[in-house]
Amino acid sequence: MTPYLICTFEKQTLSNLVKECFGSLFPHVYNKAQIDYIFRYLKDLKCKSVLLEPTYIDKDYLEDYNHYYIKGFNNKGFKTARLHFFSKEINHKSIDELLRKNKNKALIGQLNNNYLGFMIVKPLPKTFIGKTCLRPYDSLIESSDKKALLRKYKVDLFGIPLSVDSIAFQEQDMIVSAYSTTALWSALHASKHRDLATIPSCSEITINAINYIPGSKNSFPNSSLTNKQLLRAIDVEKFKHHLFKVDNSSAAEFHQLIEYHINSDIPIILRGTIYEIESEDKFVKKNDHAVTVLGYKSSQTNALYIHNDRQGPFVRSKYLNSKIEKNIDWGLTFQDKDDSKKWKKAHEILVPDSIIVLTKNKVRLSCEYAVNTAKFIQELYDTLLKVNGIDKTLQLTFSIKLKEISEIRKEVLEYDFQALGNDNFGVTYCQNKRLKFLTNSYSKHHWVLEFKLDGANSFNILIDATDIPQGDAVSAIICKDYIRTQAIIELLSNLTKDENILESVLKDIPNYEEKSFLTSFLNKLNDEEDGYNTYLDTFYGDLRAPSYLKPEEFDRKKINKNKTRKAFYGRQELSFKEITKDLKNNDKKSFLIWAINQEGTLIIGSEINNNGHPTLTGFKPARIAGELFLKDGKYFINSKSGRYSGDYDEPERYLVNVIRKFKEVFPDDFEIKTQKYIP
Amino acid sequence: MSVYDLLKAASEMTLTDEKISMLKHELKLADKKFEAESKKKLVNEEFLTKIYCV
Repeated sequence: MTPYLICTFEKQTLSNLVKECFGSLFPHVYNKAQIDYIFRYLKDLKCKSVLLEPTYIDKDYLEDYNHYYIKGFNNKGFKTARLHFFSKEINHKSIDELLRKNKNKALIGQLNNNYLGFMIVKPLPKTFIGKTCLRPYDSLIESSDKKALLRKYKVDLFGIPLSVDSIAFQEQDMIVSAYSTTALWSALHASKHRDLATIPSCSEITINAINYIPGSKNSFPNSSLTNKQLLRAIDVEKFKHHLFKVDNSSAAEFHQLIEYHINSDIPIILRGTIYEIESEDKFVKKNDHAVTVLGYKSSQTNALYIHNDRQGPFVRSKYLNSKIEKNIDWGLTFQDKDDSKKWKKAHEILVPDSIIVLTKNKVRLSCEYAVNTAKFIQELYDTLLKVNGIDKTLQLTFSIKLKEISEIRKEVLEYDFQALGNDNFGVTYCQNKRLKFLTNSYSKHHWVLEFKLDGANSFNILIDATDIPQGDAVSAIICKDYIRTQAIIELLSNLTKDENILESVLKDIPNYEEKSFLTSFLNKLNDEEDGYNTYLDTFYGDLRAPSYLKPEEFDRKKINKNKTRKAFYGRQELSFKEITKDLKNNDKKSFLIWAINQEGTLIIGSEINNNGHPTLTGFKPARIAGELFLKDGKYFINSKSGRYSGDYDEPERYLVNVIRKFKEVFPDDFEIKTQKYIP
Repeated sequence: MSVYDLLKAASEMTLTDEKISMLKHELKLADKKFEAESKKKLVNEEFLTKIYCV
């Protein structure tokens, strides 16, 4: 048996090699639309050589063979062949030499750099194109206005490790898989959460999709799946599916929906109806179809990049605005190139009907709620400006992306607030907000709504994607530009600062309330600014756990309680004079200890036997703490507490508020000053 | 208009009764439009079981 064959890359040699594999008829191969597309595609990638590996065991075909083909009298076995494509001229001599001596490391590097991918050839008469992974056009990877989903496929060619960044494509065999099955198969390959080795074959997907009866082969041949069956197959793969009906969407809305998902690394199955373009204004309905959307181009002329089993991988699909039917005024054309590498005139158009996206199981909210929330905030902004007669010269825009919290945190940690346009105050404000955000706990998956004002970064809203539609899902607002964020908050707070106004406005917009997290966002705005904890943090410092416990402070595993401890929740009868009656003037050993606890209560006591602040608080987290003493006949407080006040940047600014607290609590007239504590 | 001007205008803004009713009117219209669009996008059993064939 021939171990392998190498030919110069030409359409006739490619067709001949395919014919060589399992004796397919040359005209069938040569005239096949997919072969034509793949040939032109590879020609564009400057393919020079093709290597045929005549015997290859492909997991996907092996499964399909086991499920159906094995019982065919004329079946040609379970073995497949594989074609490898290179943008470098190779020959038998150099490959033989490499395999014999394994000395030419440079050649291995060259083979890898020039590897364009592979195509499995199945032993089937007409539908022989199996798993095909081809490198996308460089422009698809490098252009800033394009984005595509890709994964790394590792290839072993006679022991030579090769790899290609791609998403697997294959044509429907019209027996164990129809177009909807192959679309899902490619979508599973594109999902970064799925190990490539565990992706089921097309026959398994079809069996899972239909009401499977063990041992029955009546599922095949399969001509198509309903949406319900397709969703069932996705269920079996333990993905969460989200179905969107798009037949009434505009091309712009549809493209935006594609962008949100591709930007989130989520593959999309697109279903619709094919129309033949007879002339500029005449379209003939043909059949239904499904493709996998793997990328997009967003510029003056938007486009999608799809795996279309009628054509090939990474097919460019442009929008065509035309009156296709009474209520249909746009569709997607499938583009192909001619021999001179120019785009041919499209002869078919796909009118989208629905899209299905696959997310991780925990992502229970589709992007719909995130989109609605962002649109409603935008609507509120525009309307508030309008009713107040303010020109809408500053546009509020947004983009949406599904992200994991680790990625969000990493990005937030790396924000350079100065570079984002903040002045010194803004930098400090954003940094403090960042600290709060990073040290809080969140669910793993979030829809991130990134708002820009006048084209510049403003703030992000995080919507917990694992929440329920009725939930309070806005988990954080991340400030990127203080002034821009504040301008929006100030504007919206005209509604939120008066509960009656807000309630009466929300009452009239029930759909906004029900199908978005607008209320959750508006509540969050209030929480962020006015919450009691925020007040305590600002006035008395963030909570600190006591940094250590002295040996004198515990006995037989019990923490000592300070018997002199008194907690002052608010104004009361006991006077300051009474509390401080035992303090001796100018005696360093005579002082009281105090602390502001978690709830903002002032606690005062004496330090007995070296039992300090933690015995006042019960060893619980607290805020600023220090000493109260008499010096030259005047009362002073400082922040001397190694356990609580030790790592505040400027503890003195909290002491001013602590003095106010003393005055609030005690009814008599007295004066306290602050003294800076230098450890 | 600069962002500072917007911030200043927003902080000096007062929602009078007249403005509130204008705001409610505008938002009500937008809400109705949204409701109509949502209905068109509703996925029902018929859509789920629609037969697709080659």
